[in-house]
Order: sequence, then C-alpha cells, then structure tokens
Amino acid sequence: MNERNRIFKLWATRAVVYLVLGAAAFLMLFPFTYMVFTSFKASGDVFRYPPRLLPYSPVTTSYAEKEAPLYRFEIDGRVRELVLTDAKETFGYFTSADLLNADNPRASTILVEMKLDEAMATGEQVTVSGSGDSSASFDAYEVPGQTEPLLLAYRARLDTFADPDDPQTVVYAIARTAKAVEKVDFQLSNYDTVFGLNLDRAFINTVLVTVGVTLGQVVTSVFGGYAFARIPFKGRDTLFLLYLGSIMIPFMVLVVPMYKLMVAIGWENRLVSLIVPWIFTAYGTFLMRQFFITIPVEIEEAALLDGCNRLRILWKIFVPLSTPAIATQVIFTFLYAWNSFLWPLLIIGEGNEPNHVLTLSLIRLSNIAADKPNLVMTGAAIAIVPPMIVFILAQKYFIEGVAASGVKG
Amino acid sequence: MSRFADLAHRLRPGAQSLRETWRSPSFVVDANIAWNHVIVAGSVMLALHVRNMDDFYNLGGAVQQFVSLCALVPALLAVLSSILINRRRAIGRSLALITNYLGMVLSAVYLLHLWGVFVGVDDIARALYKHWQWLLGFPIAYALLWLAGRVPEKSRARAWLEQAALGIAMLTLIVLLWVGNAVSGFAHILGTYDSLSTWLATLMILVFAVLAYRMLHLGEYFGETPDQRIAWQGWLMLSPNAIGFMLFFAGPLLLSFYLSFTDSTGVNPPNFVGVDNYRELLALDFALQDDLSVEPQAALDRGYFVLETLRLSSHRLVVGARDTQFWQSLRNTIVFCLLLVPLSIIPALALAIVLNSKIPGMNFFRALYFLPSVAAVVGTALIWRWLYNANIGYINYAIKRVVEFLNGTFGLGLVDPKYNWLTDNSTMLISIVFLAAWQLIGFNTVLFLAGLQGVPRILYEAAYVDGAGRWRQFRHVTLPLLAPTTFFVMVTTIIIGLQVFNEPYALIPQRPIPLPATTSVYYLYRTGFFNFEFGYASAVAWLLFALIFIVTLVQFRFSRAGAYD
Repeated sequence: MNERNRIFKLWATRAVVYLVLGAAAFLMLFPFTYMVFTSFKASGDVFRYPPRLLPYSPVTTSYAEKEAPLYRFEIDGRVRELVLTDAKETFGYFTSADLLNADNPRASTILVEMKLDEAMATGEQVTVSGSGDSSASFDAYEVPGQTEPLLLAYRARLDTFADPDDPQTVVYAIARTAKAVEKVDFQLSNYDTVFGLNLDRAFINTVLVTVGVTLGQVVTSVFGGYAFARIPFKGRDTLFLLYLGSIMIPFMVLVVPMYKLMVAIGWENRLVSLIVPWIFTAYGTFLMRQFFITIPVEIEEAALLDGCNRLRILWKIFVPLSTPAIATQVIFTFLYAWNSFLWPLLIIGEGNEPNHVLTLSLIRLSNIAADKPNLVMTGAAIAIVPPMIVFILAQKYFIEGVAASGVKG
Repeated sequence: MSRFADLAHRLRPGAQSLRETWRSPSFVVDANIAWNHVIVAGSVMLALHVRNMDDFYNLGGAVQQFVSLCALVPALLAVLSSILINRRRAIGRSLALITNYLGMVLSAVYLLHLWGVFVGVDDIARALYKHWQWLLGFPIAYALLWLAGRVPEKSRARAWLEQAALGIAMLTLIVLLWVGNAVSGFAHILGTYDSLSTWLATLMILVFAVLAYRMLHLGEYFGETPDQRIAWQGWLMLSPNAIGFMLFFAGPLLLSFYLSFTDSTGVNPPNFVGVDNYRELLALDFALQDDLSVEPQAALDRGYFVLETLRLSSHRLVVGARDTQFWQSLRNTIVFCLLLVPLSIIPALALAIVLNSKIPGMNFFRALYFLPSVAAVVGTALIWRWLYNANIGYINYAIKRVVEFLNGTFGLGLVDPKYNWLTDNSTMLISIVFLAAWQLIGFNTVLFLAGLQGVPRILYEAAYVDGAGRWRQFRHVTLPLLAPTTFFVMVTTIIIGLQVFNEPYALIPQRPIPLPATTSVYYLYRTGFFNFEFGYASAVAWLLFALIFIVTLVQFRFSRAGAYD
C-alpha cells in the first residue's frame, strides 16, 4: 500500500511539473508560433478579429466561367455552400414611423426587408423627429402585403450568392460579413516578396559580416588568450587586469568617438566598419585564457623540449584540446554579430540599402509594410530562424558557456 | 656619414659574401640605424602634416596637437634605439624591435587601405549577392564532413567523404573567386601602384619586416636571457589583439572622455567647456511654494523647468531641472530596471528549481526557454508590436477572454480595459518591460540552474533527515545557498536594463519615441545622432557608465564578502 502511494505521489508530482513547464514553454514559444504562421498568411487574412493562428485562404469554385469564392449559408436548416456572383441587388428596409429611429435609422426595428424595386414609392416624404431637436425625412413606400405605406429606413446593396449546382437557389447578403468557406493555405510567396524588399541583400551582408567577425575574433582571442595563459612576461598581469576592466565598459561610451573615427578613416556606410572594429575582443580573450589555463603544463613542456615552437604548440595541442571553448566563443560571437543593431544603425545610412544588414532592413520593412503584419513577420522569421538553428545545433556549448560566466562572475 | 659609406662599402659585391654580410650583427645594427634616420624624417614630416591640416576631421585643435605629438613617438623610439643598439644594449634591441614590428603592422594596414581592401568588402558582398547559389557549397562540404565524423574511423568511406568535403570546399572557393571577379580585383590592386605612396608603403613593409626579423634573431649578440626571449613571444602573440584594442577601444575611450568636456557638435569642432555638459545635465533646483495657486514653474530659477512637484501639507515642493528630458529618461530607465528585475528573476528562479528535479526532458525545456534570448531583439520586438496591437493583437484578445470568463463564472462585472499598449503613455514602458523580461527569463534560468548545480545534494538529505519538508528545504537550504547566484543575476539584469535600447526602438512605432518610453540610451542616441550634440551625448554616456560602475562595484564588494557563509 505504502509503495503504491509513493508511486502515485511521484507521478502526481511529475504531472504538476510537466504542466508548469508546459505552460511556461507555451508562453515562451507563442510569439514565435505567431510569427511563423502569420508569415504564411495572405494580406486579406491578417486583420481578422477574433485573431486566429493558422493561415487561411478562401475556397473558390468556377461559376459562370470564372473563379469565384464560396460562402456558407444555412438555408432551411441545411448548410449549403454558395458562390458569390457579380450581381448586386439594392434592398430596402422598411418600418413604420413610430418604430423609426431618426438619429440612427440603421438601429430601427425593421418590419419588412425586400428588394427595393418590388416596393412602390408613393412620392410622399414623412418627417420623423428624433431625440432633442433633430429630425429627418424618409420616403414612404407601398409595400406588398402591408396595408399602410411604410417608411424606407435605409437601403443597402447586397451581394448575390448562387448555388453552382442549382442556380434557382439565391441568397442575398453582404459578402464582407458573410461566412466564407476557407481552407488552411500557406502563402509561401510572402518570402519571395520580402526577400525582394532588400532582405536578400541584407541576408548576404549579414552572413558576410557575421563570418568575418567570428573568424577574426576567434583568431585574435586564441593568440591573446594563449599569451595571457601561458607566456610569462613583464606587465602581463597588469595588462590582463586592464582587459578585464574593459569588459565592464559599455559600448555606448564608445559610440560617439567610434563614429567619428569611422568618418575620419572613410569607413562610414561601409561594411568593413561592421567587421574590423569588432574582431578585437577582451571578452573572447578572457574566455580563451580561462580555458587554456586548465590545460596541463606538462603536455606543453614536453613539446617545447622536443623543439616545437609556440605556434606549433598552439595549433597542434591547444586548439584541438579547446574545441569546446572555441565552439562556445564561435556561437556567442555569431549570435552577437548576427543580432547587432545599434552600431549598424549609426554607421550605415538609412538610404544606403545595398549595405544594410538584416536588423536594419527589418526596421525599414516594418516602416514600409506598416499595415502588412504578414510581411513584417516574414522578415522577422528570416532574421530570427538562422540563429535559432545554430543555437539548436550547438546548444550544449552555448548553455555551458552562459552557465560558466555565471559561476565565475 | 661615414657609417653609410661603410654600409655601402660592405654591400659592394666581392667585399664579403652577401650571405655573411647578411648574417653579421654589425651589419644589421648599422642598417637599422640607417633606417632609423628615415623613420625620424618620416615621423617628423607626418607630425608636421597633421599639425598643418586645416580641418582635422572636425575633432578640434587639441586632438590635432595630440595626434601630431603621437606622430613624433616613432622618431623618439628611433633615436633612442639608434643610440642604445650602437652601445649594444639589450633595451636598445627591444626598442628597435618594437619600432620595426609596429612599423611593419601599421604600414601593412596602410597598404591594405591603399589597395582598397577595406572598402572592397562592399564589392565582395555585392559579388556574393549576385552569385549566392555558390555559397551553398560550404554547407554541403560541412555536411559531408559531419557525415564523415559518423563513419567508423580508418574506413575507406570516411577518407573518401573527407576528401570530397575538402574538394567541394576548395572548388566552391575557386568558383566564388572566379565569379566574384577576383582577377579584376587583383588588377585593381595592381592599378593602385600608379601612385608613389603605394610603392613607398610596400617598400616600408619589406624593410621593417626584414629588420624586425633580423633583430629578433640577434638575441645572443645583445645578451638576451631565456626569460626575455619568452617575453618576446608573448608580446608577439598578444600583439594583434593589443593593437586592435588600442585602436578601437582605448583610443576612442580617451576621446570620448575628452569630448564629454567639450561642446562638440556635428558642425563645430570641440571647444573645451569644462564640466558645463555635466552641470547642464545634472543641475537640479528645489523650491518650496507656499501659495498653491501660483504656477510651480514660477518658483524655479531661470533656465530650470519643472520636473516633479510634491505636496507637503500646505506647501508644495517643486523640483526643477535644466535638462528635464535627461532626468525623465533616467527615471524611465530606473523604473524599467526595477520592474525587469522581479519580472525576469522570479519566474526564472521558479523554472530553474522545477528544471533541477532530475526527471526526463529537462534539457529540452531548458533549450526551449532559451530560444527568446538567441533571437534578434529587433525581430522579437516587431512580433510583440503586433501581439500588443490594440485591435487585433493576441494580448488584448487574451485579456478579453479572461475578463469574459471571470464575469461569466463569478459575475464580477469587470470591464475589458482594451489597452492601447504602445500608444498610451501609461502602458508604453511596461510593454517594453514585458518584452525584455520574456527575452531574459531563459537566460536567467540557465544562470540559476548553474547555481543550483553547485548546491551539494547532501545538504538536502541532511535537511530531509531533520524532518524538513519541501518548502522548508527551499527556504533554508536552496535560497541561502543560491544567494550569490541570485545577486549575480540581479546585477547582470540591472546592467542589461540600464543599457536598454533595441527594445524600445523596435517596439514603439512612433518617431521620435515619446518621452514616457524614452530610455537613457535612446536619449543618448537622440542627442548624439539626431541633434548631433556629440559632446553632450558623450557626457550622457559617461554619466550612465558611472551608474553602471557603481552597480558593478556593489556587486564586486558583496560577491567577495558574502559567498557561501
């Protein structure tokens, strides 16, 4: 009995744990889910309320030698799918003078609703007073089946829906509010459209910048980290402290002079300004140094005695041994470079589109497609998905790296 | 001049075999001394050139003088090293080595500049864009290499796959070079040799490199100790990083500090104005008003504007500032941090504790929670912009459904608030906080998990034996032992929060961003890059840095004192 109780308790705990984790996962992932589905929506499908996640598009059928959308109506208790035709019909909405709401005729209680040309205008006008001093005049009509003439409260142009198999069945309604027959349909063409709005160019630029910064950082960090970790020389520790201190200084302090420097050497508006200044990093050097000091000295000493020079030792011993650390740094740098925004925003002009990176093009897209969330989400997906793939492929290194920074900090 | 005659004499064919001359230390020393004369001349010319420039990149006379003085440093190094290597002193060799090495690097950079390599990155990007299909060769090669790693070692398939991967990568590179017009790029580089400076720079690299190389191998001649030899290797390895660090970090840092004491703008060169910028930013005026019917503004000195008023029984305290926008942006930033800390830390702590129970699937969830942290803020902010949409956004829709549910079940009669999240002054800032918290929770969860892993299991067992339940274990074991981690996470969050820029920029559609959503870095961006008040913007940056510095110092003190006691 006790044993069963214990197992029950275990499973109950697990159920609660997974429920909590699942709820949190839903909150964390929902924005991305929204992004992905919206990126496949057609422009006519984005402003629906209540919102829905999946992309839909109307189902059409051929009617009168044309493709026309289908709508769903309930006729005599049966649901039928009718096709929207080009024909329009003006309908009149009639009521009596005492039921008429003069301030807002559309809110009046309607007695009869029928095609306007089937009613007969008497030519009379009746003035109905509303609340307060306001009043309005309405046309009077002879309406079949009614003894008294009724007043025309308002009229509306209705669309005509027909059954493609049975043209006798006709329904009049407003297409905008009618229930369209829809199917789930992914608009892949959004991606073509958005790539055509300079995101293709920006994508290539971002790849180039990211690869350049990552390669450069790894090379300078490996060299610098090795020197700090293994080669004793005068002033090394002071210099290392300086490096450490520099990590603390936020980039915004450097923004103005860096901008001026770039202008002075003619790098403003150039992609090189997004690469070269960023390949010298104190943080990466620190990271590599921390890893290198954990490699046993004996290996290196043996190699030195065998007449290996430092470069060979670095290349043949340290680099292979520190693959995890290098991978961590590669991923950190990749994400940082791919997602960077403030510096490109300052240094690459808004009009200089050929040199935009993804973040810049995305902001521009959000301005020119301000009323097309499907396109903005497509752009966001293009910018967000590649780093996510990299993260998923290499998450082990990444999470270890973050955790290590916390434990040591 | 006899030294030069001697040099020429020795280089004359037949006098000595060229190889021997090359090897002899005295020749290298003499050549270096001769080259040092050239350095002195060049350095002085450069200094004079800088000094006589009309408009020194709009940086002002002081910076111009400073740079011109810096240009004289090589001359000084050259003179000193000439004297000292002549006396065969080790320090002289060090100076000569440094001079030659730096000279080589700097002239190489200058040559690359003349070749147009830096600016040419744009052309590379254009070529890649035109022929992007060929880039796919690299992922294919990588995939093959990955496959090779799965195949048993020393099998033929593995060797074949590795060969294929290498082949494809090389082929891709060659094709890219070909379609990217590497030939014409090379021709362009050759074309730059129609100017004298390209030839000079190339020559300088060669001379510097040869001299540096020879000097490096003259250790014995100058009586170098093994320690010194090792030290050279250290400096050499550090040099790429250190040179970049000086150029792109230390230099700009000094310039930024100087600019913050000047009135530099987009059009005017900087004039030193002392602490005026800081005074303008920080000046506050406090006044006590008795007569509440008078405008608060009337109580303040000239040049001050009302920042805040406070009712104190029958009086009114009026606080005025010269730059009210700065103070408001600072207040927004601090409020942002104060909200971000609990909103990102408490869920992260809860998730970390749940994730730390060793049941299957935890790594999967941990990775899921981390996803928002790896996505570009600009992208996620745009997603949230539409989630926040007042009419069709999911957030208002969810609120509406919750309100309807509560009203339906409990008959509360609540009113759906229908927030205009991003346009209403009162909700703008909190909208940014939610976005930032969502982005940060996964990151903080991972930090907490690392901290939890450091809590010894034996303590829980001990607490269990002592009869402590889950809650008391959490309260008396987990929380105290996690205190250093919590503190670290808090400080990191605050530091991230103080620098927030991307989130408001991408989330709030209006331009300029309305004051209630203006953060300090956005204010810095606006003064610096909209109004082009560079000096003033630098002062803002340094004030913010001071704030971050204080937070860091506090962390440093406490993490030293409070860890695990």
